[in-house]
Amino acid sequence: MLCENCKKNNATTHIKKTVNGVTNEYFLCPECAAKLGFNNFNFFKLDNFWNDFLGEPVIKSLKRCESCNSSFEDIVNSGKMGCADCYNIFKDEILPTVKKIHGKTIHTGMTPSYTIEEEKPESKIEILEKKLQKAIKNEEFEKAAEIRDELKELRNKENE
Amino acid sequence: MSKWYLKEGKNSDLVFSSRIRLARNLKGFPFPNKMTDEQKYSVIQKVSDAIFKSELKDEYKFIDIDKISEIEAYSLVERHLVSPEFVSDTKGRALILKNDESLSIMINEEDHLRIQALYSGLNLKKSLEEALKIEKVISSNNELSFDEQFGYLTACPTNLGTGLRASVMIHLPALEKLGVLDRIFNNISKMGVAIRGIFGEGSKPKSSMYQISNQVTLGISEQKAIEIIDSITNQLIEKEKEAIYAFERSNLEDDVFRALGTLKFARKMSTEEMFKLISDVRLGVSVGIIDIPIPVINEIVLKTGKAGICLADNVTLDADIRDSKRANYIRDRLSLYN
Repeated sequence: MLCENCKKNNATTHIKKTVNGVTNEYFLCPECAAKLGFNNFNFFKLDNFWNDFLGEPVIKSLKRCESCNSSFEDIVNSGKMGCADCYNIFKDEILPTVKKIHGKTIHTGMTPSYTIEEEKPESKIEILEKKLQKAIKNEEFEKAAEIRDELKELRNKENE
Repeated sequence: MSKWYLKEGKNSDLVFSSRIRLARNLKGFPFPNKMTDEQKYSVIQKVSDAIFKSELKDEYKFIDIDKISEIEAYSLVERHLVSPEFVSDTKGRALILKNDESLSIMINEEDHLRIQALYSGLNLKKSLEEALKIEKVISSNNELSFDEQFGYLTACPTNLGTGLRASVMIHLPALEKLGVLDRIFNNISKMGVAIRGIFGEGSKPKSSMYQISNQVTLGISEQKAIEIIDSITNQLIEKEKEAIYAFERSNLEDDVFRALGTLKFARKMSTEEMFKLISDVRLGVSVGIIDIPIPVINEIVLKTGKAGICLADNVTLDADIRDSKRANYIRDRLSLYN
């Protein structure tokens, strides 16, 4: 059988595509299949597209918060987290959004211990240094780099 | 105890208010959008216990928002004590209000706690101190949801981190008339700060009143967030004071006295007209054309809204009757000043 597209080479790739219940079949040569985007790489990307669209990969969407039973879909739909634990359970999913909103992903403000015990608050630099050590220890290098930049900014300001 | 808006603060001719809002949640409960009614009442109980068993108990009152009339509820919105969202669905919600109305705690709005402190004039630092003071009282008995990376955890990720929104309401009539506000606002918005017109629709409010507030709450300290709003406000104050010289003094005087004359003698007054005229009068005070205490002007704005003017009767009055009552109230308040 000849390739349906170029009508020159032998068709070795059989594509069966179902969109909205309509099934189409194509018989293509390897070159034309690649050219039209029917290779493995693109199928992978197609999957990702749907996952992005739904806000959550299909397999993971079964995941629910143990405390409040929210799924990530619930969160996307309402725009609100269900409870404090959702931030832990859906951390990977929510991080890009947090970064988009705030430009940063690490808190540098007050902590409850300050407000409860009325102790002299640790300086922001001290807190960040601790966070940096922890991030390095846990091999979270991206996070560490972010903290390092913030530290640098703070120190520069102090030296002004 | 005299109300917060009856005090005169720094630059209070231009700066109507400095407001701090803290979003906080109690540990051990889902956020309000996932709470049962029982859990909501439990949070209300815990927060009230903390405050009404503390030394501050005599300074605050508890308002069961579900039991007050619609007029009373909306008059709280007009006085900037609660959000419109808060009174749109009152079940399982409550308000704790300081007697001078400078501090309000909305319970079970989007978050368990929305602590809001208001101060007359430009003084965000003082507002933050007041908000933190009551937060400390509440958190002495209740552990708050906090995460080392994300800071204070809030229902909406836009409030994560400090949970702090600092906002200043500022009167900018001269810059508005010169048509330079859009350019200024464009520059400011690049700094993670939002500006919108208030008391009216659209970007050019009838009141010439604008609200400046921070957008980013994560990765920025409370102090820094306040500093940014403070510094922008100070720059706007300076620019507004310069801009006023672009106008012919005699024309300004004419505008101001016409506005004052209408306010002092009109028999009917809509809110829209009131906002416009009050704006002109406020400008007159700013530039020293007339001498009316700013608190008197603030009180008129806060008390003669659609709900506020119905408060004495506690029923919804027709627009025509409201307009008469509003005109009467304003005439009475301004009768002492020329």
